[in-house]
Amino acid sequence: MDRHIGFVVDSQSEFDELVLPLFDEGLRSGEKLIVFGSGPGSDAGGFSRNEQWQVNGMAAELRREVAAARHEGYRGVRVLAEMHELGMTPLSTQELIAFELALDRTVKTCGATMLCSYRRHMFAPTAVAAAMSAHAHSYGANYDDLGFRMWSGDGNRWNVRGAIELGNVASFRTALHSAVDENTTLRLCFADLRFLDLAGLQTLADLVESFPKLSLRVESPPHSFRRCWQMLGYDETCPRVEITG
Amino acid sequence: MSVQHEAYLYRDLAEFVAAAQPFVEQGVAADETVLVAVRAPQIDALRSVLACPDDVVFADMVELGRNPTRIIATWREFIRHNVEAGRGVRGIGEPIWPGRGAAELLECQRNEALLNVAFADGPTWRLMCPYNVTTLPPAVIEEALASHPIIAMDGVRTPNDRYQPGLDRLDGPLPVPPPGAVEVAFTVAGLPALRDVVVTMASRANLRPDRAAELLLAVHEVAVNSIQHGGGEGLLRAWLDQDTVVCEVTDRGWAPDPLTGRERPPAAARHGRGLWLANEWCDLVQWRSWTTGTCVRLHMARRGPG
Repeated sequence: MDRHIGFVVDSQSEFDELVLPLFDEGLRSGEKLIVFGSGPGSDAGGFSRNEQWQVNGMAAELRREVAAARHEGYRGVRVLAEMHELGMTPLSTQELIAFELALDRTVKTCGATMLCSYRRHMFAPTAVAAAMSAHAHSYGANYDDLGFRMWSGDGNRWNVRGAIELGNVASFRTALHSAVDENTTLRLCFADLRFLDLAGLQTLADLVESFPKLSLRVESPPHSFRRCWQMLGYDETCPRVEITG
Repeated sequence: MSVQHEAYLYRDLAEFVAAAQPFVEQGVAADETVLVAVRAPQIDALRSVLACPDDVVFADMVELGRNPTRIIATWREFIRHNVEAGRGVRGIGEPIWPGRGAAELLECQRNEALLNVAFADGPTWRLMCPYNVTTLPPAVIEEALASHPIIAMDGVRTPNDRYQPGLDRLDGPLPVPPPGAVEVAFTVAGLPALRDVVVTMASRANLRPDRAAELLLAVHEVAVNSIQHGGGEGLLRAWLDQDTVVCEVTDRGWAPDPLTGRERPPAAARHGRGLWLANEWCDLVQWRSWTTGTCVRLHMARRGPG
């Protein structure tokens, strides 16, 4: 099940229709429900509000909430965040991608469920698109969809879905640089990637060149990936890249 | 001129062998590496008469020259590899045979003319291009005479006063696409829609998944060239021609080098890769660039190699 889900909403009715059912589902699962921001109306019950969270301390706060909830006997934590109330609106698209990917990794490692609600009137369409690219799944009208999704898997693995191409490669580059731990092996699973063009290929090569201690393992790439990689000589110039599957 | 580019006119297989055998054996005797790129019957006939056939490199031109735009890159790599090893080279290349389609034939003829440009500088080497005057139409032989500075027949080799340097005669517009062609104007934001069209056409033509993926990337990269070098936008037209998918990308850019895309880019290159890759993967690529714009037409047949 997805534990980090993005929503793009505007009206309260959209919010009620798209977000609340998934939030309420947590109650049935025995999870502690936490809201940051206005969220559901004040007459709604069954959740607690957290006023502490800010962009810079979110990961630590999430881990603390999960530990506290488990101590209190809950099976987990489900967080609904109104992102504009987290101080997210001034962030650039690059910062949004970096933030959401870091949050995605935290959600994955601590076993929480995170529902990120972006209000369309509070964010530029490009900002919404950047934020949604760091969620495996999203709901609502994302008019400037970047065309790819990147989200964390087990260990150092990151999954990529969709298409990487000239039009979104700058965002992909940002995502990679946000995900990378420069002293380890970065694993990119491309099993759900439909398409990757030469700009995308070059971005992978540049990433490895940027981090001398980084190794990259590309798993299950599209058919043309391996052929391109060899034909264009990347297998010689990028020996720290391993292609599997 | 560094390439001694000669058309050898022959009437039948025996005459081909009679011309090719001494040409090859002289090269072997001079310690040159010899590449013979012709069709299988010619390979078999020539191998059977050579004293040391294992000293010669043979290549099936049906595969090597399926897309004629790859031929120059093959010769370039052959020469580079051997010159680096300190060896001279010579070659026989027969890219034109009866049964080539009109578009293929035109690209073969452009290839012949471009060989003179591609190898105008660099090490001197000999390239013999056999033409079967019995089976090829007279117009094809006329063009062979126009594109080869040296002509040979019946063992006599002479300078060719009908040779015409330049490409203008072969640089006209391509035939107009059929009325039912799908048209999509694109900018960078439209690349996904462009790819959707290619996927649909490949599906309608029942292209094998690997070939469909290669066509998709080839067309996409050509469109990227339009965005980056052709004014930021372009037009895709796509249609089915019997069992072949044809995708044409046009834009307002101009690439003055007629050899664009015909040489393998260096491993560290960041540019000049898309068209080369398209040439490697597609069954036929027709590239024209004038001051008014560039047109790239990519063909991928349902029945591919392998």
